[in-house]
Amino acid sequence: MYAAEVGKQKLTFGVSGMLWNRSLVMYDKETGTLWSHILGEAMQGKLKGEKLEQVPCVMTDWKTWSKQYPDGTVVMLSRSSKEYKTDFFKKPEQFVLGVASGTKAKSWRFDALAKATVVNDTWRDKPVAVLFDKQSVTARLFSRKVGDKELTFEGGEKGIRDKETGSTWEPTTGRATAGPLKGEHLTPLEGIVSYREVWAKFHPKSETYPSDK
Amino acid sequence: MRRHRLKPAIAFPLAFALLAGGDRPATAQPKAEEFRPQKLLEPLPPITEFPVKAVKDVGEALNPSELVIGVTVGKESRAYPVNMLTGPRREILNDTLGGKSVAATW
Repeated sequence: MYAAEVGKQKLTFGVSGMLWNRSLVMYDKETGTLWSHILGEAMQGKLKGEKLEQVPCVMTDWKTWSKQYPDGTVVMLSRSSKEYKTDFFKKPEQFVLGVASGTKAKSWRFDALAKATVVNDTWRDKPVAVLFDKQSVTARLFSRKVGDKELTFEGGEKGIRDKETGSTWEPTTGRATAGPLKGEHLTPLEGIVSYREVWAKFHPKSETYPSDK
Repeated sequence: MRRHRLKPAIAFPLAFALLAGGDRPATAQPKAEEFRPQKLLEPLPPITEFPVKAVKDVGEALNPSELVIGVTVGKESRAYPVNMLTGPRREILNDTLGGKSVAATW
């Protein structure tokens, strides 16, 4: 999910009909520039070198989303596939949640996330956590800062809690559902779900969790 | 509303950069000079119009276990069912959410 603009120029994107590294190449109608979908970067044309701002979003199942955002809307087109249900992730070791910026990239493998349910980590020197919900197979990257507090999370029978206050956190939204911080929200960060193999191709120097080395 | 029928034979092995679609390049990576895309189709016109429903009105039209990409901008939340975004004739929806122009990509 990208902001469809560069500077003050609004852009309208279409499918270029090209693939690069087996991944979608987009074009913008306004300048004809070619953009890598996975990098969000202009690769060829007038806007070459420009990058699109990512809009944080989540991949989850309809049950989870519709419960959390009952007042929202949903795009309704004819189905072009039936493949994408939670069991799409039945081989979790093939998928990662990844984040990249400038020269850095980091990814967390779904099989490891499913085991841990939460991973406390750092990203660009800032404290972050990946929260995982097994049922909906949702992985999401959040900041661990809430106000001036830095939290450390742990998984367990009763869900994800922070060690500092004992509050319980909902992994798909980052909302505290019980405890002293109830009602607070973790700030979601841009992360994308990708095939591990594709991530490695676009980000060969990416740090990985667990380490591939 | 666009209702292109898909040609599964040319379905993109999409990089499945779901969510946010992309992200920033980690250098060392694909520099422009290595950008050698492969042309498979003629360019397709951008999709700017598509039907949207209230979550409350969806009823049985979506299966509970179907994957969606969910986004909130300001006070507006919208879900994009992946089973409706995939395929070379879709892939990108140009949308406006919470006053912001966005490209929902799969």
